[in-house]
Amino acid sequence: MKPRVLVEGSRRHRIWQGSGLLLAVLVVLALPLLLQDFWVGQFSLVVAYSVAVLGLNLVTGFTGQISLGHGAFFGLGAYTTAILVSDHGWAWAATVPVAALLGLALGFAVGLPALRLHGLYLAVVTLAVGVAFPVVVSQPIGIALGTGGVGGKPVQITWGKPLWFGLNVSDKGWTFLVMAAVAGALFWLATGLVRSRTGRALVTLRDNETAAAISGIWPAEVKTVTFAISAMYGAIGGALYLLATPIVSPATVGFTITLLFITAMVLGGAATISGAWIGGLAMVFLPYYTSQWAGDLTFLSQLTDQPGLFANVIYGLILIVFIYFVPAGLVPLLTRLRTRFVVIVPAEAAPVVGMPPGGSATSPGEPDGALAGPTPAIGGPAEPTQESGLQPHSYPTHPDPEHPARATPR
Amino acid sequence: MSPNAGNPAFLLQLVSSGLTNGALFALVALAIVLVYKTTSHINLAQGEMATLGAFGVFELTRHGFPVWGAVGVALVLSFCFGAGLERGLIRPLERRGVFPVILTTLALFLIINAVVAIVWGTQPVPAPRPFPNSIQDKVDVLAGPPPFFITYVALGILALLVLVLLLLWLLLERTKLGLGYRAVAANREAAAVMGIPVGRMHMFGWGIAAALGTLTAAFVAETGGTQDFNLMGSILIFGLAAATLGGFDSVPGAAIGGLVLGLVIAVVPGVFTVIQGDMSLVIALAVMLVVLLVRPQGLFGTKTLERV
Repeated sequence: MKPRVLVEGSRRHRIWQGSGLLLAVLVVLALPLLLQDFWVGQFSLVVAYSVAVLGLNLVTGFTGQISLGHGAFFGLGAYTTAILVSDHGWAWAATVPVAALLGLALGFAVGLPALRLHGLYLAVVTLAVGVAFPVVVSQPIGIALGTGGVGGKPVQITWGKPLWFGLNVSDKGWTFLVMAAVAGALFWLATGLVRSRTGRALVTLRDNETAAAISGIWPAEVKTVTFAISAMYGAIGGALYLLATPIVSPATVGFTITLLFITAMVLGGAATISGAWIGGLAMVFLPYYTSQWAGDLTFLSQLTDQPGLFANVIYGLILIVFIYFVPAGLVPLLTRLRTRFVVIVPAEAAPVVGMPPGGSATSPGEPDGALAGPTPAIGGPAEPTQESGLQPHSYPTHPDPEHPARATPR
Repeated sequence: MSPNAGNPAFLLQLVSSGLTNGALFALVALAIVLVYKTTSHINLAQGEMATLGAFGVFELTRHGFPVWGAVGVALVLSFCFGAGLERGLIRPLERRGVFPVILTTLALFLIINAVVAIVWGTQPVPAPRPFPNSIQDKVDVLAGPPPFFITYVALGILALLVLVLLLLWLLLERTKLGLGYRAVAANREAAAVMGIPVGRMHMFGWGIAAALGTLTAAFVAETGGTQDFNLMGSILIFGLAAATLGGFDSVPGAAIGGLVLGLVIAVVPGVFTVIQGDMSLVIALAVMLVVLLVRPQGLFGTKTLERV
């Protein structure tokens, strides 16, 4: 079947985008209307995790830096909100900016020394942060700040549905909708960021740091700011987390959750914005169903009293399988699937695509997914992809002004 | 300042416990460095692989092996496990760069950690004791009060570090295998051109590192008395901090970095009583950040130059 071609920025493209957005909004509205409170709570967790994973996508997928302390930033946000709400009687909404700023500040403090340098230093330093954070909150200094020690910090945030809201949802459903709105705004901001000049700088840095530096991008500055923003997203995710769960404890913000964030990021697609949703879904529902499944199989449930551990094994296996076989993640896979039916091309490419030489085999495939496009962050392309019938011939004469990096294998 | 700061026995006790812990950090750092030198990868699953090895020792002793025999068997098995992981899981990703490899080691971290917890349970088990470890197994130095003594375990661990360093030196500087390893570490492509099997040297590095990790974990377990699936969780961080301090590509640097870090972690909270509770991870993190700010290549590391 010949795919439909939509030109980026055209009215038909806008309608396509708009209907996608509308569908997303309808799904979000439908969830609290149709589901029981328990499942709404699970989806609230999905929202909180998605925001945190999104932060990781920004720093790892788009900028190519590996951060292993995301659980700590998540925990910082969660504890900030918990302490301010429980001990100081703040409103939840007022604590979010504080959590975000603290995340930003810690991100700067950690990122500044590490990001001046190359490669693995950030990984090593953030790993130390990620492991140290849950230990520190259970130490006297943490308890003095009100973290509640090993047992964790309980916090009660209950919202009643306001009267003006017409839909018939429970209080939990209302909370979920508020969380989804906050997350939507954060996703929108992240999309704007990666499409902006800064976003292009990030991708350039990831793909070739030397070339980026020559082009006037100051690597240390851009990387540090992005890392701090990523930490901020983690912290906001933590603040959102408390709307879904009434307690935060050192065990829930340990190094394991960092690893789960990373798996979620790779699963959805590191260099995508929308991949974070898929990651969030996986983080919530994978352990849920794995524990059930392991509990049902007697020979597995005899092995251990903690079926949740099987989820970790499966996470690890998923991570390895994805690194090996789907390094770009699920979203680029879905995008490629979609290009069989609908192809979106940039306006500059429209004349070329609009007049196909043979008529049948247009397969413009590639110019999709904007910046993230076919350059998988995890590992990068080993060889130029062969699927574009158009580019190898047209590149020398028609350099694509939107995507110059594509034809330059690393 | 602590009121005990002027007491020699107190200070000596701090120094000796610092050096003992430091020797363990140094051994972990050595394992990290041995992998890093040839492959430029950091194996974040090093600690979990070591935990698995320690449980191997535990399982063998439970089945009647003498402790040192169990350690020996576990070392050989760990060597094969490490080398096998490199060949099977890491090398296919080699040409795709640093990220896939580090993510794979993270996946290994998750899997091994969970598997150990599933197989041996989440509750701590009593650790096997390679060194005599009862209350009177110590050398009294100062009669006190307060007394100052060094336990056999502490002496044994320090002696072990010296022995490991000596063996590594012999292996790397005096054998043909070591020559090949060093050649790959110095210049991978040139070594390959000279006919040195680069891949096998990577396997060798991973294997030695895994064996070293198992050895370390056995003694970490002994100093703690018990072992559980999180045995090496924080030690890995200390090892990484020690490697950062000493330089990621320097074997003597790793040893000295570990000892210095151990001393700092013991002495700072001991002398400055403002620090309450176990802040050792934070101190390690601070050491790391300071080193990266002041001397990123570490004390003994080589500065990397990037050619364009």
